[in-house]
Amino acid sequence: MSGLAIQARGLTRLFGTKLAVQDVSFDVAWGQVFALLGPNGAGKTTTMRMLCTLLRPTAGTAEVGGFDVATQPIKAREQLGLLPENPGLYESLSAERNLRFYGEIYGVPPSKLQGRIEEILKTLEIYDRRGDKIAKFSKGMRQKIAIARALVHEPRILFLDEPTASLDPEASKVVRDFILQLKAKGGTILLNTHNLYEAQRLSDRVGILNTRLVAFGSPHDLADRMWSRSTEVTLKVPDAKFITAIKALGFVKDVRREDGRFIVSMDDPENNNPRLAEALVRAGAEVVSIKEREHSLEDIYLKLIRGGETG
Amino acid sequence: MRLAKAWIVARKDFSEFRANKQIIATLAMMPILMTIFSVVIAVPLASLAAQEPPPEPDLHLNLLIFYDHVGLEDTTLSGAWVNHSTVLNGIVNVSYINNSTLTNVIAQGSLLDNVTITNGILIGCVLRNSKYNQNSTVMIDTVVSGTTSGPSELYQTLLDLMTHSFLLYFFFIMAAAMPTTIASYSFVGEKSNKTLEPLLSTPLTDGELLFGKYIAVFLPVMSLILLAFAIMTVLIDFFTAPLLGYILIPDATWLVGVFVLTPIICIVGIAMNVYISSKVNDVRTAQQYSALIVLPIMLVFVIGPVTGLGSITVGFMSIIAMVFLGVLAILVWLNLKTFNREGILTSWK
Repeated sequence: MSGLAIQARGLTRLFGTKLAVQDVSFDVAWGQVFALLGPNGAGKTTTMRMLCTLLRPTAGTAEVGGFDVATQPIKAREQLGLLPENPGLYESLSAERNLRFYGEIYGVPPSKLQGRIEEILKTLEIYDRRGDKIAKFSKGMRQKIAIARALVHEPRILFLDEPTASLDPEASKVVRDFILQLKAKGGTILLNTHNLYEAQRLSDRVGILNTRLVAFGSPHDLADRMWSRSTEVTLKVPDAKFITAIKALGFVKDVRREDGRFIVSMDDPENNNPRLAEALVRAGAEVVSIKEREHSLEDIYLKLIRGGETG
Repeated sequence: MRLAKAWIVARKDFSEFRANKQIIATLAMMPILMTIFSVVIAVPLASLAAQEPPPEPDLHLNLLIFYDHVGLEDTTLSGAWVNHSTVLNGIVNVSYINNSTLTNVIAQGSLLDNVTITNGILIGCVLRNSKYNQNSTVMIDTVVSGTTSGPSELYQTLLDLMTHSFLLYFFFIMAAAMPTTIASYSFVGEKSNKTLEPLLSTPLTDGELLFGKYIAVFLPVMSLILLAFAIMTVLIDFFTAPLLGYILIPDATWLVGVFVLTPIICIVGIAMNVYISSKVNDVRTAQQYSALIVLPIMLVFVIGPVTGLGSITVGFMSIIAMVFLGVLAILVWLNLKTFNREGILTSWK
């Protein structure tokens, strides 16, 4: 059995002549939350469906929980729980009956199933509504039940396709907090989203998909790969004479002014920032702050999607 | 295939049907109407078939002339005994006509035994073991017995036809038609309610999913049909047995029809419906196609009796059962072979 939770190699999918996903490869380790980001139509759902054995790859291979999705689909499906983009619950049945059906299908022993259903419903704070028909539930409640359904059999890998899309902010927060709980317990999750805040907050690693996987790694690693490291220096009086003092330092690659601050490009800011501060003070500057410049996932995403591959 | 998994799918579908009163009402409507219709038809027919013929009057025949093997034309006969003869355009009064043919004859107060009548008026006569044309023969105060077109024999024939062909035929229609209500909904319904994607991501095999859908339709439909059969049998026998002096149904034809052929027709109907349901992309289209599949099934039972190739007998039903089992095997194979998870997920809008 593979040491990886998910392993995709050259996954490609054509719909007729339309290329939906091209040559996508990535790994997800056990206990990791991996977010697939991308604009609408980028192939996120198609990739997830291939991994969940709902679509066969036109080319390439994938393993889920160590089982090949094309040759061992039943075994692969036993490993996973899926929250599709639409909750897909049986409207005329109660929340509990929906969960019981899926628990039975996955072969959860009857002695354990009732306890498991109660536990999840209580965690999601919907236990009191367990007997109500789904038709009476709000969107947020349905999403919670759908998450409970994906978890009722305690899958080893959870696939969440846009888990907070179309939810109001309060419901989104409940769902995100629940995913964080799962993450804290060591759950392995593949998350499809175009919510960058959500991806940054929840995931260990991200893959940015635009038919092809244009970037893959932790947000921090991606930023390092896309931009050289730099330090933001804020002085009480940002006089141009201090630029000369900064440039005189051997580790500094470049200095520029931006919104009244100095942006200093350098390697290893952890060790060089104290030396930069010392030099500025010696030159007579009053230093307000010195900190490494951080790039948000949004910066990364927009640069990649608009600008193409990072290289 | 794990039957337990298929049973879980079926139980889920049962729960959905139970929660949907419209489906239950639609399903129950046909057997309820069928039961009422059968009782309404059978009881009056049994009552008519059971009628005792009125007593024959004493005609006080005073026979004066004997005709044997003659042809009589434009004749008035009174007190005559006519044997093995033909009478054309005549009047017959208080005579005894035996083994003869009467054409354009008016008979009064006579005993006609084993005669054939074309265009006649019978007044106060007794007609025994004879043949007559109902359209051209007028009967006034005439007692008919043992005659080909006699009323009680006619009703008995009608009763047999109704109870042993017509009503059974309706059970076959129910078995073919009732599954369309829910079977056509099986996959299209899952798709249109967006429940198919999570269902297909479970470790169910195609066979388990399909078999679960078969069971989910077969059991409620057959339960209702058997319940209708039981109620109909009790009601018909309750009302007709005192009239007829015997139990009308069930007999071997009914037992084979209801317990062997009806379930087979039901499964064939379901398999056709599920096949259609997994190929089209909305519930209405599925139901329209499903309505059409009743026709070929029913055609078999129309062609048989109409062409004289077979009426609804045990033998005929056994042959049809074998044919339908072959069709069923092909349909199940087709369903499994052409069940396309990807197509269902991606081609439906």
